Amino acid sequence: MSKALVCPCEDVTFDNLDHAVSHGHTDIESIKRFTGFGTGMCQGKSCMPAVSAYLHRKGLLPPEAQAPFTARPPLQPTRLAVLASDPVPAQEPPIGGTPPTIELSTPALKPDGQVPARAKIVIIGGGVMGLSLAHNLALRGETDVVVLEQGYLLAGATGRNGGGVRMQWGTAVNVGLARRSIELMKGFAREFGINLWLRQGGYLFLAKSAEVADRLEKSVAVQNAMGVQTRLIEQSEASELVPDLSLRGVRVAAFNPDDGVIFPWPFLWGYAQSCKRHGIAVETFTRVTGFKQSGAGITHVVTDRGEIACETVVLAAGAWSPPIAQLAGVTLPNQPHRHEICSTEPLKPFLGPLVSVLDSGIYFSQSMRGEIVGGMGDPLEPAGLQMGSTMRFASRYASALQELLPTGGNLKILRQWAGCYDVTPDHNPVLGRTPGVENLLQLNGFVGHGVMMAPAVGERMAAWMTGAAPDDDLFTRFNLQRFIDGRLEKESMIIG
Amino acid sequence: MARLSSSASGRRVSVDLDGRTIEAREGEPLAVSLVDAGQLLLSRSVKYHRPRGAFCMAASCGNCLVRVNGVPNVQACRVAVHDGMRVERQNAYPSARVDVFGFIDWFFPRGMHHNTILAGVPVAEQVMARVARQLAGLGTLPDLPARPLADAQSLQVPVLIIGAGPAGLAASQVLTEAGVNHVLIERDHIAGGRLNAGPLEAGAPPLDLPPPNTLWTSAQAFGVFEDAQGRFVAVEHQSIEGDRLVRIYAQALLLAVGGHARIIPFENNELPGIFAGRAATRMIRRHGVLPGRQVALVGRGEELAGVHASLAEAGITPVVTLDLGVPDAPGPTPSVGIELGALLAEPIRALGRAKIRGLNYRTPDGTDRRVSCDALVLALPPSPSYELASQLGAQVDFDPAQETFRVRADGSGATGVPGVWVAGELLGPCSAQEAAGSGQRAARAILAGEAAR
Repeated sequence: MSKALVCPCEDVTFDNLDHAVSHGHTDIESIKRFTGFGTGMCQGKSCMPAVSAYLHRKGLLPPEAQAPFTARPPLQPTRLAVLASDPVPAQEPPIGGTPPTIELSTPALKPDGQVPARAKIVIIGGGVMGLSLAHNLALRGETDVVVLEQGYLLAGATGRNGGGVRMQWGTAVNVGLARRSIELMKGFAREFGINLWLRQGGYLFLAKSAEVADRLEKSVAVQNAMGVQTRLIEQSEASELVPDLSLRGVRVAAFNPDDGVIFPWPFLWGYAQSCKRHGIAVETFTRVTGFKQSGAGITHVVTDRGEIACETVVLAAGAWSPPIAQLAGVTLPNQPHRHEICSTEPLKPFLGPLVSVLDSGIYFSQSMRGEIVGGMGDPLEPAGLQMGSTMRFASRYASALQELLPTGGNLKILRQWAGCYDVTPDHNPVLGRTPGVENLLQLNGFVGHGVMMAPAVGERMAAWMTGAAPDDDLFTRFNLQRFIDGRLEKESMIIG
Repeated sequence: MARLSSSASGRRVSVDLDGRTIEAREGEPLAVSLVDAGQLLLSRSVKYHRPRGAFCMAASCGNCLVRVNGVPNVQACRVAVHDGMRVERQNAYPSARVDVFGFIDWFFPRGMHHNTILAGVPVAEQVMARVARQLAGLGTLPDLPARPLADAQSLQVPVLIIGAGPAGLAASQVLTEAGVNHVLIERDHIAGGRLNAGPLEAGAPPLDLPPPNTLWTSAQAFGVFEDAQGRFVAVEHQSIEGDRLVRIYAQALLLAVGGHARIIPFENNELPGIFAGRAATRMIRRHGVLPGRQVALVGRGEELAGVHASLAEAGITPVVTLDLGVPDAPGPTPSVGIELGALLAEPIRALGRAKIRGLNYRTPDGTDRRVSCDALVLALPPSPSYELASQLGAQVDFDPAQETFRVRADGSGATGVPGVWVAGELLGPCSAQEAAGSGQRAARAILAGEAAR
């Protein structure tokens, strides 16, 4: 059948570009994510200018607003075995990053015109948290809301995460939130008309040391008490689940078949579309530059596109939350930490569950497109807003993955990238009211796991804010005051 | 297909293609040997199972992926033939020629919108998710673990030049004459770039190779990173001792990496048998392999003229030559030296199922024409390969006249990023002679900087 292809690697047609434009995507980073162009073997070498030519000829994007999507390493598909041959210095923290600067938008993409002059509620951050809340507020009839996003939709951590969703948490409250979220994800396509591609292949957690094994066993007990079907399984069963996996040194394995992976991008588009349908403005490429305050509250949010008079401000800016809170004189205990991740060539299905070794923090799963998507935390990663990629990560991850998946050495990394975890001292989120600035509500600090919590948290926060559930203790238990009072409950099941 | 007798080819060997023995030439890129053997169809595409074959011959696309010796998704244009090589087509059942999943292409005539298709339709949604999972992906896990590599090496060098085409070679010559230690890396197995793989052009400089220790061939720069010792370029270097990862720390970097083959919109623009202009000239000039017997040629400007001349030297008169003209100009601009078969007024359309069989086009007076062909060559200036420059922090601008991106630099190729220069086609379309000139200017600017330090 006749088709004109713009991206042969991913079978993206020029009709798909039209479709993306009809859904409101006209900047290159957004079109890339909506259509998938440039995400295959060639990583945009041949298709990138073809897309720009299309946008140019259709008059959709002026030349000065045309910037190619970020050229990520590796520039050619590079085998795990090659990357693993680079010895990683044990004591040398990661330095720098590629690309060297964080570019969430080019100035030319800033929309004309001012932001709305007033809104009852301003949500700062158009990631999954902010938009889930906005959508849920709309469902409760509250549509006098503006959402501010500094870049394109998906520029932040929502667009950069690995898509894992799991109920295997260490505290009852997180198990409950994740379980409810997965329930909501199952109905997402029906509710929003967009595919989330949830695949419940389970999560297989592995522990090697005695201390980590103990932690894993305790978390399974918490989950079981909540009715989650996680089981400690024998090595033989783990081998059946993933026949290609090397289980050398594994002491304990835990498996919950109801965990899974989603494709994170449509998540955000679905919420954003719902907001627009309900008349909620989602202002992209708009930066918060300050606040106007009077007494114990904020009266205006100041942006680079004008001021918004408001009654309530919600801070849902992920890793960018601390500097924004500082603009209102509030110090958050959160710290941004880069977490790196990468994707291989697409393969036929062979990997059911997401596999994670709790000791090293490596995790990997197979996306619906067939790629092995995975990452690995770095204990030496310093705090800071840094979203560049490092060779150190590629080498550490390649070595660890090759060890777990011995036939994987000749698989190729196509693309690596990074996002920032928004890390709190007790690995639990920051929610609820702000001492001293009463109408500033916190919705941040999800430590890299916000995507799998957002549906449930947005639902509960909207109920709490609109008076339907004013006594929900989620928003007092996890408020900022806990750090002052020292009421900390440590979450033990953080990976990546 | 008969090879040109003038070409230097490797020894005749046999490779196994899906159980069939195919004659190939030792050391030659597998994709080239397969074209020569008439095997244009390589695999099926990831979503619609459309037929795919080599297009760019330069690792700029993903159209020539095959399984080689049990390793999936190998770019056939990048792997050298050896006797007994095992080659399998991918993503097709029962075979790439008769692939039952080809129905997907017919089922979605305008393409599939994966974000919204069957979203929320009860039952159908779950069925689709299962089917999509099974159909997704290319290739299966490798048969065997990889052979471990020797530990990565580090190298400090005053100047690193990336790309041994006319710009890189000319820059290397300037540095050699000035006695400046440098390394010139080239991802192909031989140096020269367009000088021996591009269109024939008048006034192209001669191919002068630098001293052997300076030139590393089969060396692919795959990224720029930092560590405690500073900025380095990560290079995968293949040699007879095996693959090696090398971190090259250079005070000055000169990027002369040229460009990528481009995609233009027309129906069936990726059928096997459609080649980028420089893929055709590479096959002819380096390997004596012709892209086809009946070749249709479409392109623009000097590139079109050069490819036309290269085909002519190989004894090929195109069945039709179509000049697309300059995008922003009022009408097509015929190039000097070309008998135009027709000028293009409407989009063209490629015909054929498993490979190209013909071309539809419309002349300016509105007549629809059709020609038969077994190859279509698209001769457009390459799109500058800005990726490495961009990773280093250089500015990249959209050039509306060429409809490509290019790296912003001053007259000497300085990018504004300390220690980073660019030369050649990264700055936009130019002749080989102009590319060499820009390489020389950049090298002199680097020398001036060295002297100042």
